[in-house]
Amino acid sequence: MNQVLEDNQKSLLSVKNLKIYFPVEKSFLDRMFALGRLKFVHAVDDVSIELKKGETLGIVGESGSGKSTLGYGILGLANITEGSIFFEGLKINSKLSLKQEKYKKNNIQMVFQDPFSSLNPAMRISEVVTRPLMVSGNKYTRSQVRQKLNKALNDVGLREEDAGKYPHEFSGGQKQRIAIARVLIVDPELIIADEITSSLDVSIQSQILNILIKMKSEKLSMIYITHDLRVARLINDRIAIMYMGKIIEHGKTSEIYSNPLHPYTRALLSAIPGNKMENKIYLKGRIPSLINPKPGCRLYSRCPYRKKICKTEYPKMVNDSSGKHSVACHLVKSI
Amino acid sequence: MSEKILEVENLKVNFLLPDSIVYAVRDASFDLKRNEIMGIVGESGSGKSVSCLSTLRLLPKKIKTEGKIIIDGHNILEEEESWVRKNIRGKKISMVFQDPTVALNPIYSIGWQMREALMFRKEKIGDSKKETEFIINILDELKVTDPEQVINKYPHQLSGGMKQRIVIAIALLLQSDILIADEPTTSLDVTIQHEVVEVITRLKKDYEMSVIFISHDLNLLADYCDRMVVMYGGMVLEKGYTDEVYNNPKSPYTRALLKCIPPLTGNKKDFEPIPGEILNPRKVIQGCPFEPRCKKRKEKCGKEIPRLEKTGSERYIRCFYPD
Repeated sequence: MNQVLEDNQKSLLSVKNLKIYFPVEKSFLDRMFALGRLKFVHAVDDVSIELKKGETLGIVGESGSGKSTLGYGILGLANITEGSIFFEGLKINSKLSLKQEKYKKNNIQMVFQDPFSSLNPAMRISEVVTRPLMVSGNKYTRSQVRQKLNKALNDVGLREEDAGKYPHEFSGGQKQRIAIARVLIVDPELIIADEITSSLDVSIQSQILNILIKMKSEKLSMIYITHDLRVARLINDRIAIMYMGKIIEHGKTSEIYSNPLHPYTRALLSAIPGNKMENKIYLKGRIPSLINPKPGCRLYSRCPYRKKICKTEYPKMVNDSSGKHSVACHLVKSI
Repeated sequence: MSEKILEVENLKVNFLLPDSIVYAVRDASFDLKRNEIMGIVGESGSGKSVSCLSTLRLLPKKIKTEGKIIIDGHNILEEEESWVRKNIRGKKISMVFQDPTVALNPIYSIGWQMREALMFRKEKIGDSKKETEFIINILDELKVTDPEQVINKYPHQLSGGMKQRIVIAIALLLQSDILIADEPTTSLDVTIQHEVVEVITRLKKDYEMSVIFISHDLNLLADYCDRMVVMYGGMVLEKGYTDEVYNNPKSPYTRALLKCIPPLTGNKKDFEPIPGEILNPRKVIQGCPFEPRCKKRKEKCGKEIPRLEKTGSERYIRCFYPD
């Protein structure tokens, strides 16, 4: 069965109308007592994104926005409720042949937030970093493995001598470098980074960001998930802002930062300490429940500009003519 | 505004471990004035938290301290534990910590925990009905929605932002003169962070408290603090009025710190990472703690520890070659 769609071949990654809903009632009895009114957490709610080869896309949102779940969904670590994910034209959230499965696993890699728990404490760094090669299904000679290991370590600013050590001998920032080396060694087409600098000191974060900037100059394709708008601006070509499982605004980074259109994007930028922007806005109230959310715009309960239509109808995404800026807000009719 | 209510003088705190010594605070001097918000900025191992915990003597037993912490003419480091408990903790000084989940007891309701705090307040309220009213009022001031419902809830039922407000409410209802907030917003989303900090600054005025605000976020402190202290490797490297320290930093560390924070506007190329590792608190140093990573380092920097020198009104720098 042909799973390749032509219009998706230009994109490295194409996510279409993705939904990831988590059931609240899990046990049989719970479901029975729900009497047909089952509850779901709408973690990712109809999300579509495109990523071209050599591009970095930032997924930005606060906690509960669904940004991490989106990353896991792309990787296959979360169950997809509805929608499609295409990688180099191949629909990866469906039954794949062994060869396709192997290709997918070797070419979509993830770096996680917590460097302490993502490295096996019983393995030396040489083992940790070369493991993806060992499970790749490809055959490598010893010297090839050695060569790739040294290159990966050098790429992240570590030394060849570090290969014989154990994770506990390294600091948090160094551990994160090891996690990045482990991903780089298989030369993946796409890297997903989930808040990889959030747990690090500012000066150490700056070093990791520098590694990413270097990787970017080598045309690496990356999805960078973060809540930090400063970091997002530094390394991403394009940004998508998420709120309550939806992408509410996306486009070229410079566009979004110089001309934020969605009230939530503006509120997010306003809240950043040290941001000298004019016309700051602040949201009131709390994020409503993600369980079976009410219809209409997700920001309705907190938006200072809300109108009647915002309560009942979810706004369509409006694009500008060049495709550099899109926003889903009833107040924005055209860009 | 100009009266000093807390003075930390050449504080040294060493943790004595079985096989090593941790130099948590190598030399810290700063003071807090009445009605001001003072920010202490630093990364891991800077000594910012331990310095402030020392003012409450909330440190483990196996420590060695030197220097003075003076409140109301008393050196807190020399007083008996019972004196500190009676006069300082929850009385003169109250503290808000980083993780509100850990600060609240999971098996007691919010109302119960707040009433418990009321027992330690200077002016007792006494009447149970009045106490409930008081608690609801203070939650209201902190913009907690439906406070009458919240007091019957348990910590796990509330969001991080809510919990942090409650912890702040508890600190405030104790009527302390000094509030120490140790990274109170680090675990919160940025939009909630903004609200919580606004609350702290507003209530500081209403309750006439003086606040020490600890954070790793220089920009956050610059937005709210009157004066700032920059710490690294257990030492104060620079301090002064916020305006001066933020806009005209003299310590190479402060400068480097400002440059390694990704900019929100302007040229991305201005971003410059700081190389090297954070100073290990177990390491014995002969010179400036920042020396191994400093762009401007010269031979003297590694051989001699520069002293904290006064260069202007409230302005102090610890550097042989300040900018």
